[in-house]
Amino acid sequence: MPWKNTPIRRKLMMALLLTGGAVLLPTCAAFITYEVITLRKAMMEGYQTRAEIIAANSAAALAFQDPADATRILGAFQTDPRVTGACLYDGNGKLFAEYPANALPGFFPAAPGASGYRGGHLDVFRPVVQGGRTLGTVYLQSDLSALTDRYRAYAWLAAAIITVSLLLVYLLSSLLQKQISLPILALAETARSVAHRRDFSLRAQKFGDDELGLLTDAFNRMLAEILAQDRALKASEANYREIFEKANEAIFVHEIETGRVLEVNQRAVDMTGYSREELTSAHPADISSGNPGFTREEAGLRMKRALSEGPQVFEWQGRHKDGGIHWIEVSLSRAVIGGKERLLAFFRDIGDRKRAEELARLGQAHAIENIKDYGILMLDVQGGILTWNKGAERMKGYQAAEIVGRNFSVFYTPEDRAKGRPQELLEAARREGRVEEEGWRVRKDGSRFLVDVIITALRNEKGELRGFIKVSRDVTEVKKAQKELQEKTELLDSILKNMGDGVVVADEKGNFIVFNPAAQRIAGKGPVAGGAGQWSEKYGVFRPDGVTPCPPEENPLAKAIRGLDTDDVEQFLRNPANPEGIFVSVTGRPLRDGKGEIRGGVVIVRNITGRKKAEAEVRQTNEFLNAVLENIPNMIFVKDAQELRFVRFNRAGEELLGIPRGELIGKNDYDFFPKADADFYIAKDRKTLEGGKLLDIPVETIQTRHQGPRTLHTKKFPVLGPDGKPQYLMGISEDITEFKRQEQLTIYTKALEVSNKELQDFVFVVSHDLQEPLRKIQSFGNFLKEEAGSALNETAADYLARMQDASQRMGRLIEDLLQLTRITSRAKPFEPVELDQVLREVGSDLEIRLQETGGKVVAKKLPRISADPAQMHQLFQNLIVNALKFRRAETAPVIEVEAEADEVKNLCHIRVKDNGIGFDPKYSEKIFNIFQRLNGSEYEGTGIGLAICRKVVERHKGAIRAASQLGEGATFEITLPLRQS
Amino acid sequence: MPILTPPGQRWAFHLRLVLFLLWAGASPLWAQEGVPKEYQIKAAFLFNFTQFIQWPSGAVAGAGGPFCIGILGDDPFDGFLDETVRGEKVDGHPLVVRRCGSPREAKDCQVLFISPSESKRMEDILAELKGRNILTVGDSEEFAQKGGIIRFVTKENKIHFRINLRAARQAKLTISSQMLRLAEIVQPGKE
Repeated sequence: MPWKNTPIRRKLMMALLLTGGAVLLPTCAAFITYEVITLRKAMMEGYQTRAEIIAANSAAALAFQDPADATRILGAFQTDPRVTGACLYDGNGKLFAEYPANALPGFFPAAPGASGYRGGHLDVFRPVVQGGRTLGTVYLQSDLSALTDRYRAYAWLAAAIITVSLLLVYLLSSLLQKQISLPILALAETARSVAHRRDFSLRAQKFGDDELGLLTDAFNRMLAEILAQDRALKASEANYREIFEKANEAIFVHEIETGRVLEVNQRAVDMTGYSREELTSAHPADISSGNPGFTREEAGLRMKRALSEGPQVFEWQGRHKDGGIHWIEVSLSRAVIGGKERLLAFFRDIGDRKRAEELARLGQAHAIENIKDYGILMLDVQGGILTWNKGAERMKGYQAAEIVGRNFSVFYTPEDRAKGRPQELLEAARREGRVEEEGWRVRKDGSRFLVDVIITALRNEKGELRGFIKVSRDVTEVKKAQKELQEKTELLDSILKNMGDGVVVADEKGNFIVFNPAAQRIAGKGPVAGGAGQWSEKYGVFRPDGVTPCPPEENPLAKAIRGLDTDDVEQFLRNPANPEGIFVSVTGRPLRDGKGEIRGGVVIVRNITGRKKAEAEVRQTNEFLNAVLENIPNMIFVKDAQELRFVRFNRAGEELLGIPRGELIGKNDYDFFPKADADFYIAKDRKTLEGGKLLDIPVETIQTRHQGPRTLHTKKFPVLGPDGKPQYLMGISEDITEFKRQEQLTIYTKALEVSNKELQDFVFVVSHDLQEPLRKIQSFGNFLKEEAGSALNETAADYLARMQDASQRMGRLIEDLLQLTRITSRAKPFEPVELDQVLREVGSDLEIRLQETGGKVVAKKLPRISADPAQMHQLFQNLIVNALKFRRAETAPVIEVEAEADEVKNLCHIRVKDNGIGFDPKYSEKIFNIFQRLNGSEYEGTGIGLAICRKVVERHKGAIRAASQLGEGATFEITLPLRQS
Repeated sequence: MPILTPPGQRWAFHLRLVLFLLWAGASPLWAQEGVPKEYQIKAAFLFNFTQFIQWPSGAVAGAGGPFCIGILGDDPFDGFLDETVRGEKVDGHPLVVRRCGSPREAKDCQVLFISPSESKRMEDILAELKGRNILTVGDSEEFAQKGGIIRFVTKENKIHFRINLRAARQAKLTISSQMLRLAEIVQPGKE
């Protein structure tokens, strides 16, 4: 906004503020400048003083070259954070002591200089003088934060002063400037209101008797004069306007030259249906009917005639805006209005007269006027309304006075009018004599209603059409009620038809009123005849047990009819439609009328078979899972995730721990196990829960009640709850104690086998290698005997004999040992062996021994088996030699050999029986051990023979057993497979 | 040095360099140049004592009279002392150096340096000077304990001094607090 257009109030305010500002700014500037200069000077002096103090204090340190003391003195600057550094130079200008101790190299000036503000800091140099001699220089450096802090404070202060001052100026001036601006503003406001509202009764407020007061008075006086004149003028005009507007005739003021309408009164508006604006721009043609004799040209002619020949009075046919034709009496005359010549036209309504004439012509009575239920009206040939009755008034809202004379098309909707529907109907009535129609009409207030209309053509005796009679009836409410009822019924039907629950309604006598499709599906059939007593039977209603028919008095619908409620009662239905039967839940209620009398009952039947089945399945699944859990041979336990107390435990677990579950549930590990063990289990539990996944504990030990410590292989895993967090801990433990033991045994066995094998190898190698030196001993023994035998004396010969004997025994021992090891090391593949033949060969091999002892072998038929022939030979030979060896002194040895073959078991039992000295049964196992000799040196032998026998038999996957009594002979029983697999 | 020396080795090298420099720098210059440098400093100290010690009025001869620094016994200063005090004044008194053969000759001195050559008769000398306003300075063992006022002590290659406060007070000498701060105060008999 340009300055000159700024409101006076703001101008005054600005002037005052600028003045205030102009004074304040230089003042503050001067003040701050002065302070800054003083401050810098004061700071310089302050630090010089401090430097002087330091100088005075450090004189001795310099004089006696004690930098440590000097550094201590400088350390006093610690209390002033603004001192960024200080140092002492000695007399040669070299650094002597510094503060702070960790100052960067190059931080201090290389040599003393002059004090002053440099860069962002203050340098102060001060010589250290003692007794007139300069010992050195003190230097200190301070940052300017002290200054900047003060500058900032000054800036804030200045800003605050200016702000507060300007605020004060603003407050004071807004009070003071009102003295001037308020009267001017009031005057201006009044002037604006007067100009705007043309209201000269307004007065400006006067605030005092100064120049502004005078100005206000003058202004108010001027307004008073204007007001007086204006009122006189308005009063006069209003009088005439009143007459003009209240006249019962329509008045048109025309311009003489053009015939344009300049002004009309209210009656003209009412009569023609056009607004003032439309009328002042209208042409006489528009408000004339346009029928022959009432055209625009004719109207112009009449107007001209009125101007030239003087006032004209004539009857005229006008056209209402809605198209209706009405009769008027027109009076045209010249007049001078407001100093100008005008043509004045007066219209008087003569419709009543004309209608009366028309009615008289039609000869109709007026009796119908008072009929209320029907709108009855007469129409002229064009559809103009001639009569109006009470019924029409009630129906359409028009008074007779305002509607008679207008066209009946005014009742039709704009759409119908646009289609020419009213004219169509009249034409049809003319053609057919009578037409009937149902359709929408419009009331005076614009609302619509549905009518049933009959229009009948009226003709005179000559058959000429004279008009129509129209009878209408308002059917809106009837139609609406019908429609609502229908919609409600449809909705209810739709609900009943589509709902999943069966709904059955019966009246108080037990007749079915509603039986919806769902109910029919459930019941298997629709309504059947017969009273409530037969329902259970006819629809197959049972109690939930599915076998007891539902007694009639329990039927929910029957109960409802008796006035009793039923809530969600379970029943069972079995009927041809549901042969398997279904479970239903039934709710029943009595139906009562307005007076509370029972008028029937309703039941809602819901098929809950699916739900029941699902429940049953869940139960079955649970039982199945329980059975699984209980019958699993592993211990299964479940603990709650919070306190790790047992919540579930299976039978295998009970048996393992020896603790019944009743004792276990609700307790935790500490209640049953030693603390160290429980700590271990709980730690694993927590780890599992935290880890959120399966934890495998391959081996853990647990103390059981009856079985001592057991080794378990346990797996633990969290069971998540619905919130996704662990709710339970589940564990499965397998008792692997036996498995572990077996494992250990297997390991031992393996080790034993290896060691055995090594031993065999050793024995074989040793035996084999021992033979060679032994043979040398024997050979050279023989040589010695041969060469020098005769020369030896008796003692020497005995020695030699003993040596030879011992070496022979050793040779046999080695031979036997070799044989023993060869059973496995020189083993030959199995082949069919005739044991008879083997025994014969053995007999012939031992022939000499048999002859010597007088013994004999008595053999029965022996079978053919699959075996190593050489080893079989050895077996029999060893046994027979054994029998011969341990014969009884005076008895000839008899060895019986017999065998039985068991084809089914694939076994052959061989028995070798002798009549020798026998042995104590307690040695029956021991004799098969290597080097076991029962009879000491009494009998020759190495103690290996029977060991070889056992080894041979074992190699053939058989068994050998000896039975005997001392002095009763011995029986060796050998069991061998017939066929080796 | 290889391009890829491990940082540790490089560090070690730097450390050794620094240690060498520190060791070299720690040795005072006079330690290499010999005795004269030591007495050059002691001479300066002798002069400086006159700046920090107040003699009682009347201890110095009237206006314009000399302020005398005496050397009793052999002169170890090799002329440094003369050089140090040349042209210097104490409170307007020109400083002079006097070499004395006996305590009697030294009675007019304000400062007396008792040379190590006199250490055998130290107690006699000090007894003879007792009660006079003379600042006795020496650098022989137990000098201050025997009644001398200031004894030079060499510690860690630096010259310090010990002050026998009682002796100073007996000689009516006022020693500046600044100087006392730098000195080691000894009680007689407890040096």
